[in-house]
Amino acid sequence: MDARLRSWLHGLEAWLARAKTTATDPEEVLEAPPDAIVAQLAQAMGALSPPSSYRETVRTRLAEAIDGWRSQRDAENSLVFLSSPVEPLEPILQASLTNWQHDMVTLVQPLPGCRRLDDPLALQAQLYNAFDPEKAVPSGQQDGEDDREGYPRDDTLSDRYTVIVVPALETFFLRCIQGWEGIEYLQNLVVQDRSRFWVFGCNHWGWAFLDRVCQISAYLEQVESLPKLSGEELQVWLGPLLLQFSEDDAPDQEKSVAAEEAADDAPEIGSHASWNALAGLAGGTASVAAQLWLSSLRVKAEEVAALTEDGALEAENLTVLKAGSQDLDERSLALHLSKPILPSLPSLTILDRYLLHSLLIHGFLSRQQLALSLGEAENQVRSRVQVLRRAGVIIQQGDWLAVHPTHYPKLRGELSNNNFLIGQE
Amino acid sequence: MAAIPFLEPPIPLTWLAQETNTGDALRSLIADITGPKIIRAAISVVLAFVFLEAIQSFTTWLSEKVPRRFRLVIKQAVPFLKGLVLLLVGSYLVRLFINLSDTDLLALTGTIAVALGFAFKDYVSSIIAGVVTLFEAPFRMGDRVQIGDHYGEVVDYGLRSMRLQTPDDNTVTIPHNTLWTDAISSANSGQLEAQVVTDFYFAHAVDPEMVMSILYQAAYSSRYTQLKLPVVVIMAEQAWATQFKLKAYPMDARDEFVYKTDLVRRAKQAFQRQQLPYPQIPPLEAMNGDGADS
Repeated sequence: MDARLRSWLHGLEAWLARAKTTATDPEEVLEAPPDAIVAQLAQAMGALSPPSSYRETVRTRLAEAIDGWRSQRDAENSLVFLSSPVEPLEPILQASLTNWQHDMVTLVQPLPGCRRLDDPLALQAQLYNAFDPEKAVPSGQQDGEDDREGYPRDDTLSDRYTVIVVPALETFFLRCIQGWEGIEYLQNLVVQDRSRFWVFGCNHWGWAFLDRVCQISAYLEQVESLPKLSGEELQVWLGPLLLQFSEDDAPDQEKSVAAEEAADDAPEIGSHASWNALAGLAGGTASVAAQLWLSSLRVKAEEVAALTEDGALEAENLTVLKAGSQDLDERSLALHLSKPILPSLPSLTILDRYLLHSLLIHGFLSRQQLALSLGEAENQVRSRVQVLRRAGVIIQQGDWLAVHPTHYPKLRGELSNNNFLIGQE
Repeated sequence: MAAIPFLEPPIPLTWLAQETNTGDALRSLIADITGPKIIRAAISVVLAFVFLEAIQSFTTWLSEKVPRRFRLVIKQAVPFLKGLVLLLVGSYLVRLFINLSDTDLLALTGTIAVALGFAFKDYVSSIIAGVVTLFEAPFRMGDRVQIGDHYGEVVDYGLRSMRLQTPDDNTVTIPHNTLWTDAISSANSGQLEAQVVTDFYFAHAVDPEMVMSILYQAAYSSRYTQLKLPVVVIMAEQAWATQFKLKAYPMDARDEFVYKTDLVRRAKQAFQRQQLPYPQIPPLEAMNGDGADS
């Protein structure tokens, strides 16, 4: 009921917002920024650190869990962080745990930058290689029994100082026969080896799937969802972005650091109501909010025309971006935040829904993996992927396909109403 | 008592008076039939037909446009909407042409009952069965049902009969009064999901744990599977093979056959990789036991 009601409200808001964009005063006509500006902003957004509330949640919760594990013999030795499927946890965990020190524990990441392999048996072998090389036999020759010697290990509290981080648990399964044996191996390993603390990252949808097929929550009981961001938190996170486009000649990296430190002094774009609306539409998810914010930015047509004539919008010339409330000069372009609206979903076929559901539970997939998970011929999948890419529902980065964050809120409602299993956020 | 003379036997005048009273009563029962009334009646019949067709077409169109979870709810409203239209138009026509008081209605009911009992027995039986079925609900619009030899989705629910669309895209019309005597098997009873049972057969020497593991994984990995509902594998011994039944639910009962195909395809690929043995049917001579002479 909530998903349907939210969908209607979004549609009504979108219709009202479109009706209001007809300005009565020609001088106030706002339009989307030029592509070059959008590209610059998108690049800067990609370099932003994750929101501070994400990092604080990870550090605080992890510290509590590790303290419990190091002080009580029977305490849980794992912690899972869950996020939206369009909010990759790997950069969040990396940013949270870089330079983080707690009580002499050692952080180990055996599988950095790992990507899903096409062969599900190779996924399992990859895990064996990382955690138990003696068990890493060629794929196809493994049996189902885990006859590990020496497990469970007798460990003492003083031996507990190693923390293993696996930032993307969904990387190690594929929805096909024998596709989640790697997950079953990991969950057994966590239970048997209590001398190490395990930190996992996963998305809600993948977690719901794994819970159904291998009851993962029975093995990894400590679960923490990333908090939902408020309008104010989003404003603090995204607002300083403009400081990177100041007239200061400092290198970009220094500017971004300065921007973070000067968050309280950042120029304000848009009202509190706009930011709260943004947070509401995005469901408190940072990646969705960031893309919606980008699509909601507006500039005055006459200012763009003036800067275009001067050549200030060329790539080699630095364009100074400012908030609409700031003082402008001849080289600056004022940014305004219009009321954010969610883009409409295109008309989806039955195969499209299955395809998008598969992408959401896996986070990202290659075309071959997508076809394997759907049990469909690759050329059938390729044609639908092309259609959805053109519609902007799917994005492609290299060989990897994922759902575009701005379409996620409506897609969630659409799939829920069509009887799909969705993650509980 | 007065009587008409020269008649044998004499007919009492009171009897003739009764005849005259009955005729007057019938004439008073039927209202004046005028030209405008006939036109109004014709228009109302035409409108009723148009409304009935519109309800059927609109609900069929709408049910395919909305998300799955609302499809059956919309379809299940069709018989009630049609019944409402028929009731309103029927009432209007009766009021238009018949002056009914309480005593008239009572007398008329008795007369109609006798007439219909002989002439329209089956038709009325179907109508009554249809009304009873609406309230008992052994099945609903959109259900996949088995009635006698016919299996399919209930796509229409009329006054006298219902229509099934079979998996071969045939339309079967079944009178409602069939339901008085025939058993009705509904696969989903108003729900979107209906259990699908897929049979597999292997040689007796097969590793049952391996087969069951593959079948569970085939169900969980199929894109059609409703993961919120349980998946069960059961096993039985036959004389010539070991039988495995995979019981799972697709998200939409309409995908019953493509779902089964997907399960069989995935499972067979895994069976081939593991080289699991299929049952061998022995030659007829060996089964008979006496050799070629018998």
